[in-house]
Amino acid sequence: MNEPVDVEGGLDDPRELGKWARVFGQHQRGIAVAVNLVIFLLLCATGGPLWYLVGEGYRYGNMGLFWGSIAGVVLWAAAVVYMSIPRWGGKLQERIVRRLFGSAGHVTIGVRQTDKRRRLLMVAIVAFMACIAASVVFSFLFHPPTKYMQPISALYMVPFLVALTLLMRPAVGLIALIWPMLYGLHAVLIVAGAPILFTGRWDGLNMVLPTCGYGILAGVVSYAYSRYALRKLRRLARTGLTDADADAEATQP
Amino acid sequence: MTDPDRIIHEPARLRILTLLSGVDSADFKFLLSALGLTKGNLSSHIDRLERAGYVDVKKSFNGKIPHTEYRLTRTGRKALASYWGLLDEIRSQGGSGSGRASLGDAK
Repeated sequence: MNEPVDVEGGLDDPRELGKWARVFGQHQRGIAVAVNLVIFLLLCATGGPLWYLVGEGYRYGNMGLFWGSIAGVVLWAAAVVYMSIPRWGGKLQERIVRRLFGSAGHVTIGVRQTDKRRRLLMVAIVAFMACIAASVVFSFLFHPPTKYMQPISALYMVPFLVALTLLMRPAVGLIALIWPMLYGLHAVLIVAGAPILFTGRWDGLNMVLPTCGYGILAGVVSYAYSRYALRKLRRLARTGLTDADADAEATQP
Repeated sequence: MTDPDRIIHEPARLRILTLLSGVDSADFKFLLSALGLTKGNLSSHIDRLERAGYVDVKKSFNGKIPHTEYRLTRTGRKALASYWGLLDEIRSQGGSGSGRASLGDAK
């Protein structure tokens, strides 16, 4: 009889194969969130300059630049529409994720959907949308300093992301909480006067970078943890099983 | 004491079932990459588990690429639980090692 599997110096219960498969499943989707946000960032990064060039072309009477930029804006708008429709953009994102990160295969872990959970999810989404609308109205009416845009958004963004993560359990791992935690910390640092503010024409980055940057970071960390889980899983699964054993077993009745 | 289930009492099949017990479903690629078996071996083991009613197989297509998912059935889950229970019992009676069953015990 073999001894219990010794992985990285500790005695692991072989039943942990199931546990690590679950950890892998909970965190492998993190990279899909990161890819989604990278695409969103790319669309933001291309849209802004294109609109800027349209304005510059018009201002200086450069019709070549103007119409060229208009054509670019039309293509950009088409890309935004394409990526916003789950049937097209969602499938494209899924293909990208599978091609770049799908070599280890795929596992699914379902969310235990109850009526209560569905209702809570719906309430969270509606409340989040209402808060976005309220913050836009608030900005128009009271013109709060740019400095406070991100901290104000943190008041609803952090609870929403936490609620979303908890309501998606067990399909999503707790590592996803990195996103709201860092977003909240960023808001606290800004209020405390830390020099992490963009000013002038870059002030839009005060919202885009924390939102996407921490989301991408959380996705990448989550994916890295899924790879760690896979490594543990492989060690555990392959200990004490040789090719000859597998061949022999496969041919047994 | 009852004999261990012969279907499960093979390291590769035990690994497949234990791995599937932690998730809702897993695809062929994942089992292949996690377990390090050859495609033929894995197919053969899965086939046996499916015939025993321990694993449910769902075939579909991702575009033009065939995609196969495996799921532990209720019968499979029960059989696996009683198998581990039996192995723990044997080990505790033998009083050897840590008293916990290992994957190698199935050899």
